[in-house]
Amino acid sequence: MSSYPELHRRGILTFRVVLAGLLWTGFAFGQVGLGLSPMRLEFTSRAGAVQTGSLTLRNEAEAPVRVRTELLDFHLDATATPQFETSFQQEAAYSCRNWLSINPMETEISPRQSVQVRYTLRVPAEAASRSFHCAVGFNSLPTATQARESGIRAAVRMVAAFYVVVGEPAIEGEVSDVKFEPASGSPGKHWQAVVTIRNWGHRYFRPNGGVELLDSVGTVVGKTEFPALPVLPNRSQRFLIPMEVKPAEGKYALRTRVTIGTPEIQEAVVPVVVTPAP
Amino acid sequence: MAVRRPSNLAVRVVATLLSCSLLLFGVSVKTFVATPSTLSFSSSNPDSTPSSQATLTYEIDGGANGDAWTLTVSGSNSTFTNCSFLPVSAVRVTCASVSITGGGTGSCGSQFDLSTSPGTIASGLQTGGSDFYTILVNYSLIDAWKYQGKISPSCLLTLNYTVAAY
Repeated sequence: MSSYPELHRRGILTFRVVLAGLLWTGFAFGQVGLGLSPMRLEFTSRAGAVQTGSLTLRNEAEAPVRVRTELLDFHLDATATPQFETSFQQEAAYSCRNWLSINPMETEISPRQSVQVRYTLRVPAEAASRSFHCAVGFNSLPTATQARESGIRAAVRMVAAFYVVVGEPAIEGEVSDVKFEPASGSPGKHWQAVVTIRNWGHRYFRPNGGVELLDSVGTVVGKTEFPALPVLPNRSQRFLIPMEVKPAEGKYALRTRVTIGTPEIQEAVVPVVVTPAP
Repeated sequence: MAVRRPSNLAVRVVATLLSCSLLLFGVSVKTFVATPSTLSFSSSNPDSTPSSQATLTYEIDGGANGDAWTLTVSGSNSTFTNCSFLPVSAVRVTCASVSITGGGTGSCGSQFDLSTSPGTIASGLQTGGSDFYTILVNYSLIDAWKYQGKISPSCLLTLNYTVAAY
């Protein structure tokens, strides 16, 4: 039996990996044109209410595409990246996944055509006064012919996020931590503010505002708008905010001004010392 | 007016706002395109790091100014089809560039090794109009010496790209 190096030396070994990208092999130039509208829905509702509406899926490609629907939980991880799964146990108290029904759950879209996908959101009569979140994912599938052709699969998932506020829960949160640090992977080259916002209430909110880097005499040397990302209920959420500034060594202050949907603007100022990159 | 001061960070209220409201957002993603449809790694030298580049283009339309978007990718399985010895973590994902027309902002995420959990290729903020994004992504096979070679059938993997505006 030949060892791997022996096989390699004898020139008979080829390592070949084929990654199936997004698309079907039958598509001209290997392209797909799947679109979704809207991608985000935010409702106010009440216990026992039923909300209906529709989403539009469009196939801009020259070949048909088959789409399968899945109901999802989601949350934002420590880098504020949304993570979508069929179920997250930690989101159960705030999930509207089981309230959603979709019709159709699977469909084929002809080239250059759109389909309407209807959703019905049934809020249980016993639903607590709080906000809930869930998502609907639309996954492309190979058509029967394409699946037989080569076995090469492709997938793209479009996600529509749902936010439902039941009743009138209060928005309760604050900026709990602010840091200024080199961005991951580029020490000394790119910097970022890391702002942690704590939501101790049962209603999500979207912070709005910005961060500013001030030098020792109070001059603003860098500023960035705060991303309009959600802070989901009952958790602390970190936001990594890249800043287009390369500060010299020295002492600075990082000022954060944020509104979270309450009638106030919160301001936090923390001292920052920039040291040489290791 | 409520004033909250966390125990470990000085936060002060500097203004009072009149109101806030909830909205239905009509943000949509149009014409998500990836080129090429199939990425191939082929190497007879495991000392090399074979790589391929994909181009992803799409348009996000109708969002609100400052709303976030993100593009992630994950493997559909923990190992390659036809090659159970080859984990998807052998594929390193590196965003090479993000270019935008029509407004909006975007930046590459850090490189990561593929897994069944979504990793961020790129993310950014919308302008509220139509923003067109072109993202170049490099896929490379790392640590090839760890894995045995194989000719046929090819190792296959489905990449799941997820576009979200949340």
